[in-house]
Amino acid sequence: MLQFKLVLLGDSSVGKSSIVHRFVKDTFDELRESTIGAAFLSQTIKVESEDQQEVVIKFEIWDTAGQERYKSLAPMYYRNANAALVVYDVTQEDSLNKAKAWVEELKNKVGDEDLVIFLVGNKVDLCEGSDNEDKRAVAATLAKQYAEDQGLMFDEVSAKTGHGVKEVFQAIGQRLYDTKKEELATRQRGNGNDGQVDINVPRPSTNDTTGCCS
Amino acid sequence: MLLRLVKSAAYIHPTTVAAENVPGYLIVASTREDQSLYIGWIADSLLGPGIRKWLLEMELKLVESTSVRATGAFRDLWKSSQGRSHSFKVALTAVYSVEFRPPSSSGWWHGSLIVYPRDDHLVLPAVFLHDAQCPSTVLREKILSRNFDPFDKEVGLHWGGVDVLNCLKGAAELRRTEANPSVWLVNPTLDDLRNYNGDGVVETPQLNPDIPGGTGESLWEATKWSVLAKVADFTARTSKFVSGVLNSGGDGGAVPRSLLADRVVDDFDAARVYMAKWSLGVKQEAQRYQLTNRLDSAYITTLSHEVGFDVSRDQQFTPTEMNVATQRGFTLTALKWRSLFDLQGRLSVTVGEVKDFIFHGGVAPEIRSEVWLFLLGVYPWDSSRDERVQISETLRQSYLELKNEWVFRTPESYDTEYWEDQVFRIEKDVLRNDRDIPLYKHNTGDGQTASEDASEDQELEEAGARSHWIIKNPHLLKLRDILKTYNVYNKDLGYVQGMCDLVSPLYSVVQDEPFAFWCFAHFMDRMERNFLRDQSGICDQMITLTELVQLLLPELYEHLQACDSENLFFCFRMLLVWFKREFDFTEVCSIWEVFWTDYYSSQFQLFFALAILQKNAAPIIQNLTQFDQVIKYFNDLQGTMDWHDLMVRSELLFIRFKKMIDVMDRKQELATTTITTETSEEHRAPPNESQHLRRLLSRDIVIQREALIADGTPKSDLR
Repeated sequence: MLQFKLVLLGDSSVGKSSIVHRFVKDTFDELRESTIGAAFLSQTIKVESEDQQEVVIKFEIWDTAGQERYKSLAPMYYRNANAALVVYDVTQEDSLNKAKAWVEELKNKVGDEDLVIFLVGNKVDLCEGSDNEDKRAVAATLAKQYAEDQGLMFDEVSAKTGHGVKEVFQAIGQRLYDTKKEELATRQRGNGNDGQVDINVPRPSTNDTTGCCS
Repeated sequence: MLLRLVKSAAYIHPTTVAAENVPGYLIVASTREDQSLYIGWIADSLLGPGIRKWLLEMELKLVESTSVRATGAFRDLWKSSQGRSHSFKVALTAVYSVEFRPPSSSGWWHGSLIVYPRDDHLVLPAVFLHDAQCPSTVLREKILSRNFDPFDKEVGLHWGGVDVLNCLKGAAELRRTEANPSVWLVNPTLDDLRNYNGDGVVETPQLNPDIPGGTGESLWEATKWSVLAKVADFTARTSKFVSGVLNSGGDGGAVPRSLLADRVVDDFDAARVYMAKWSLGVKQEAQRYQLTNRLDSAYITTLSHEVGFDVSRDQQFTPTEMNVATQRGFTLTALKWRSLFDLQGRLSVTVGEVKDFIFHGGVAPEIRSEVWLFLLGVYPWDSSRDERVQISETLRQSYLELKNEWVFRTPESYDTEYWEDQVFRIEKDVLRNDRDIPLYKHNTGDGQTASEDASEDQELEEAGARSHWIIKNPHLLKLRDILKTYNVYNKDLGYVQGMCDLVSPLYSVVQDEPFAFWCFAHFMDRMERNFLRDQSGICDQMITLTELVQLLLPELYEHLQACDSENLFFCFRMLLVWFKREFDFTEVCSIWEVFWTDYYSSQFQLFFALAILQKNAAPIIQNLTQFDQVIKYFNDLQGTMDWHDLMVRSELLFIRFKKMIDVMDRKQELATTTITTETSEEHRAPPNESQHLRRLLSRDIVIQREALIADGTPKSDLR
């Protein structure tokens, strides 16, 4: 089984926790409390290898508090992350700016070239239907262009309806598997293991001595 | 002067000869000014026929009403009768206790009562109530038998003394002592309550034989639980063993490791957390059983075993310490609270005594809105009623001024963009705050459901999400206004997530916008350190907690190190908003008011966190091996913890901590006087030198303020 660390970042109340809960528990709560500190959840998915074998991937998910004030804690969560889900709210223009700032920070602070960053516009359900088009504050094309320029994955989702949420994690899983598979293959040969997929990406340590309280 | 109760046919028996009995009237009266009560007896021989007739009329009248006005003639007599023919009167505030001895059911002897004044030198005679000759007692009995409910367990034998007791109960707190059920303490102090309560360790070291169901059955129950607890321990160890085999199988190749096996191990992760929870659950159930069946000694044994000192350190909790910590039943009731104030409305006991009550028994919900104002420092403890009226006016006025600052703000005076952003954040958090409690539940103009059926949800659904984000509930609106005003009041800090969690219980109790604001502002004095930009305040606390764990729970600390969890990261949220997310709303109120007393330490929340760790130490050590398991385990604790038990443990842990520091101080004193130059092998400073731990012994709150906005611009850029 492959194990990856994934962190959610983004401004407060853009729906980070809602996305995670939709993915992990397939539930939605309109009035979910704000996240204090961070929450930790995990979920497994299956991806396909080239030879059509099923590979199980376990996500360790860190769902962080969005407010600027808690920013100094963020490195503790994104350190050693394999993937980051940067979330904004399609009805709040400023939330995309906050998301961009997070992308910048990740690119500057995380050394890992292979870090997968997925930009997600949430709450598309609010601007569905012709009556509600005016509620959209961030055009999909605009965000998509930015994502392409920066080399990020991108999609729009709705944690409320569930639209697109699973696909985001599936795509991240597949991408991580694809980028890591060579590394894994090398290791497998080294281990002399007979064709079994037996890899544990070095376990991300959260015992971060450069973190907040050490 | 008001008469409250008259009992005729009340006799003093100076000798055992019936013919020498002195007839008279037992009287309870109050002054009209301050309603303070007097109880007394007046000899029949001192009364003229007019007053006697009037008294008998009043006696009957008082069966139906609570008070009647006294005539001038009676008032004079009441004053002048003192000391003549055994007559006496005494203020209820000067009474320590009253003994009520009911009549024998055979009628062999009369019921009597004896008043014991606080002044030991004053001995008052027993007053015998000859019920059959007493018209008010006879009348009362008739009324009672008319409404007789054969299933009411409360109804005992009626006699004159019951009427007297009920009359006194209306004006003071009377508490029956367990040691002698016929004695009632009047406005007892907490120490009185402790001394006269029968279930302390000293008095009943053995199982209480009076448990309903009989000793045999309860013993069996107790045994059953202790066996189950052992099974839980054993199972926990077995699971460790099994997972050990599985894990080692992966390395050694004994078990072919396939994806399938990985899945099993993965599931086993979940199973481990499950096992840990299960074994704790059984223990908790055993403990709940012990408590509800008053097997206090069993609980105390458990506590000494789990929280107590190592045998090697040869120090144990004293029985008094155990009693004080485990007896948490004496709530500060409304009656008790009122009895603590004098005529000017000034506290007549020490602040320490009030805090002892609150720390060990909590505040009755109906007086919280008043008591919390004192606890949070809105009212000074030594203020009089008049002073408080003045303070209230001032505070209302200054709140209004602060509020007007943002209500009537002009674009020139405010950084509009910053302000709009703050308001946006406040509103988002207010809207999703504690929406499960009735006060905040319905987002409608009157805070009530639109109609009985589920149409509200539908209405919201139809109106679309935008209207969803408009606050309509009047209480949520007040939360918002309080937070906006605080933003003006403390410009340096700004709104930080978590603050809404702190104001919500305050408002729900006080339910008055200006007062809730001032409660919050005072609460924030000590909580501001949790919200600093550089996180230094919360870090200080995390470090202190880590040191506490190292000192008091070394085994757990070692295990957490092995799990990469010794930074106690999972306690962050608990400390940030004082366990608001871990417990039920009403429990949070009970927990916070204990912390506010600063009874032992102004940072008692750290001992509460320590108690949570202590309580869960065994399951964690036995079952959990990895960081994410530990995190998950603590995440799942939400809503499952027994705060009463944790508070008892917190207190004992504090006492233990204090004793350890004292012992180390003494040792160090000795060491410095004998050997001066001994280089220690250890790098770590001894715990008694840690400034963090030292500070835990202080009752002064720790204040750390946000000084500058992150980039160094001074706060004034808001203006």
